[in-house]
Amino acid sequence: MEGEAKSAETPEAFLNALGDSLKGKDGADTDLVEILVAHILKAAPAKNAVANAKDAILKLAVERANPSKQGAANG
Amino acid sequence: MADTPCHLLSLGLAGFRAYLREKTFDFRKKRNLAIFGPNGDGKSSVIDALEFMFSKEGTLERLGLRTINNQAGFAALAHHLADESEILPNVTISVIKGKDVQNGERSATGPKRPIPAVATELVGCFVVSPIIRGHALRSFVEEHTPEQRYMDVATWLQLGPLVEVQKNLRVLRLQVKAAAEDLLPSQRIDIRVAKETAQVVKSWDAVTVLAHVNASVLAPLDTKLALTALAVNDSAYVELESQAKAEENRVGLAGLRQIRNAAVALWTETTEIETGELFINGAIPVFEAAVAALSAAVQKEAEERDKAAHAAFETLWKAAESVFSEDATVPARCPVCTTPIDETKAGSIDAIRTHVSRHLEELADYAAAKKTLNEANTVAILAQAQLAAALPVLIGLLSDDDAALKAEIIAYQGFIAGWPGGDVQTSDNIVAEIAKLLIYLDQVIADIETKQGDHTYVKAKAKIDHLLELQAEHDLVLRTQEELANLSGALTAQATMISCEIRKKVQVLLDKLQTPMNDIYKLIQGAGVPIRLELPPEDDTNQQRLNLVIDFAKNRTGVQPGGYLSDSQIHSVALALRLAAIKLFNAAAPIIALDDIVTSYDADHRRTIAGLIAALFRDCQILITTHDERFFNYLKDQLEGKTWAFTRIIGLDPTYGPRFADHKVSDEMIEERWAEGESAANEMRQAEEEWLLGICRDFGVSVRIRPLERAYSYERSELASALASFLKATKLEPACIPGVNNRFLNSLQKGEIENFGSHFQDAPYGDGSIGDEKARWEEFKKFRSQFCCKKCNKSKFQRPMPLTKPVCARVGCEVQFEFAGAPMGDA
Repeated sequence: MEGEAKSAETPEAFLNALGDSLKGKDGADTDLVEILVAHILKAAPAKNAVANAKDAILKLAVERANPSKQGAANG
Repeated sequence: MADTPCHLLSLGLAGFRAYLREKTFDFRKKRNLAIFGPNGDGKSSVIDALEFMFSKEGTLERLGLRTINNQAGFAALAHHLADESEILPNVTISVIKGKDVQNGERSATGPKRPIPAVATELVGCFVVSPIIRGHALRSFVEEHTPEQRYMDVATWLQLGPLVEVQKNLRVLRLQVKAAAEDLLPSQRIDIRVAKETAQVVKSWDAVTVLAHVNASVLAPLDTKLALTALAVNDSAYVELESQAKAEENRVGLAGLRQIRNAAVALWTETTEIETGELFINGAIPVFEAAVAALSAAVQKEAEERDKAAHAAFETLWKAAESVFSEDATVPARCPVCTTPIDETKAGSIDAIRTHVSRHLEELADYAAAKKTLNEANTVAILAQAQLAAALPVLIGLLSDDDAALKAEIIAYQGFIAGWPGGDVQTSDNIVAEIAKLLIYLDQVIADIETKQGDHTYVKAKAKIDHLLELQAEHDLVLRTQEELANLSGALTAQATMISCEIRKKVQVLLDKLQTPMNDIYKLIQGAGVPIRLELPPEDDTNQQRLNLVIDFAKNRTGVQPGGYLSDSQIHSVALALRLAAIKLFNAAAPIIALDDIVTSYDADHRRTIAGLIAALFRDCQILITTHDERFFNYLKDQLEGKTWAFTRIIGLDPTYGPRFADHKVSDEMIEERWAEGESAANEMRQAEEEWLLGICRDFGVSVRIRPLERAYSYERSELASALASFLKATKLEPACIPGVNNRFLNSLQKGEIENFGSHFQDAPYGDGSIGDEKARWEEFKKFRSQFCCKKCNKSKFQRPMPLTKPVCARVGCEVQFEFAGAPMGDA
């Protein structure tokens, strides 16, 4: 991971490599990583990137706390 | 080719900042430029032009985008007279990479000021911002917080987006942590629990809620009924559910009361407590009373109708009453049949009067009986309607247990519906049944009220179901908080990892910078004080920081520079850092723009910095502006003349822009003008003036010392006359210029050159067309070409004292100047 991240030249490439390496890391919370990649690990993040990421994390917490609802929604 | 660095070929400003009229700086012959000028005369506008050209937002950092607080917004980019002068404010740039030349223009006005492709490409080559402004250096070291400094350095290293990521991560981490610790959702549940338990249970606690349910909800119904857990599979809940269902099927207290009310509406018997009088009320007795009254009225009316059989003669009797009244004149004969009164059946007036009076009374009785009948009929119909409406209510409420009563009432209902027709049906049985029903209901209701009050199994189940829902919500809130806490922990771990990677990337760059930065610092200051750039670990209270510390002495290591270094040393730390970063990371576009960087330095240090630029940045393209003439002169002394152009701003003309001296107009610039189909008269005049100034300076021509306020403003005629006088005195005579009868030299001597381009319409040059300009320029070049060393062909001279004639300035040549004869290029 370090090698990949360091070899990346531009901030965008660096962040992309960082996101990829986080996704592939053992034991990483992939849902959380997806949220970070989608909202935070951006060279040009949206103005409300933090709010969007927070909302996504809260939604994820509710889904995990209510697995039956999640199953119903998925089913 | 890929590794070939980019350089600026030219930079043009028009209507931009201090520059109203177009001004182009040409870097083709000499890629470096030093501008000296007094404060406020427009030298920084040149650096502004670069900053603007490279800016994403199309503005300057100190202007911002909008007019707000201390910022003037992008509107301040344009010269205030640009509109009035119909000049479109813009900056132009020409960039060369290898042999590939790209041009770009950026408008400095209007909401859209799109960055040209060439600038985007050039910006892409910068790892570090190429612009260093003196005023910002000191604040970096001394005033900025470690957080600001981290941001500064990261921005210089074009790592701003990574710092943004770190900042966003930190904010996100804190917000998610706060959400995980937020008690509001639980408090909302508590408020609802308190409401559901009539404020008995103030906050959710499973044991307390269970106790409340057993004591206040279930015990009033059945003291043996108690939940062991608030759950739908608890045996007590199952029993409750069963009871509630049964209660729904039977009739509850409310239902019993409803039946009772329906029965009472039909028939009820009450006793006045004080008097002991018995009252019977209800739709049935009312109806029956009405029917009885109606029956009596019918009989009475029939009787009276017989008596008033002659009711048809009512009008006659009325008319006769007035005729035979006592105060009237008595007629002798019957007014109808003309029978004499004495011969009538009555036989006399008095008998007639009695007869009339009796008939009239009978008629009145009949009318009264008829009215009574009508009223009784109305009352009976109304009572029938009320009874007809009340009967179905009770019928609907009676259960199968009361089937007999129900059947009787239904039959009675049929009678009532058909009344007054059909067989008369008495209500005796119904009334007796209703009386029994009321006695039973009163007994049952009293029993229930005594036993459970308003409590019912249905209500109890509903209450417990609400609490079960609250329990589910409470559990969900707890699980959500737990999941949030887990996510917060995972986020912290990932944020730490990401931030750590970013810090490593920054630290790698900082480590690379450390040695060259210290080298540059040592060169400037003469002695080194080890400077270290450290990134302390991030924590919750401090965001990303950069500690810039020095090892001042053995017992003062890792200390803040502000407390131990002088102004110039602090300045040097920042300057060394910036220069080292540019030198190290901007190899793809080694351009450096230095705006007034020596304000903190004494003369020796200024000379050192000039030497530093000459020694370490020879391979860079440098634009320097300074208001320090001594530094400017040091630059001229130490930098190579063949790659450096030096120019001075001699004043700021509000209706023109900065006025320059020594800035050479190149032959290519003039050729380009013509290639674009434009007149180059102004450039030619400037080029001739520049050449005159240069040759006069080289030859050591004596000119009148100018007044202080116009120290550098030599007029061309003045220079031309001085040169002519010098040439004449030294018996140096240029050759004639072919084709113009030596007009150029004569015009030079007469001071006519300054009017060239404006007043040269006289023959042989015609009307000042581009063709004429070209002819004139060729003559000038031929004239100019005579001023070269006959040995080495160089055109730089000097005349050290006490020589009377100039000599070649090239080291090792130094041949005395003489005109070579016919001008070069002469056919």
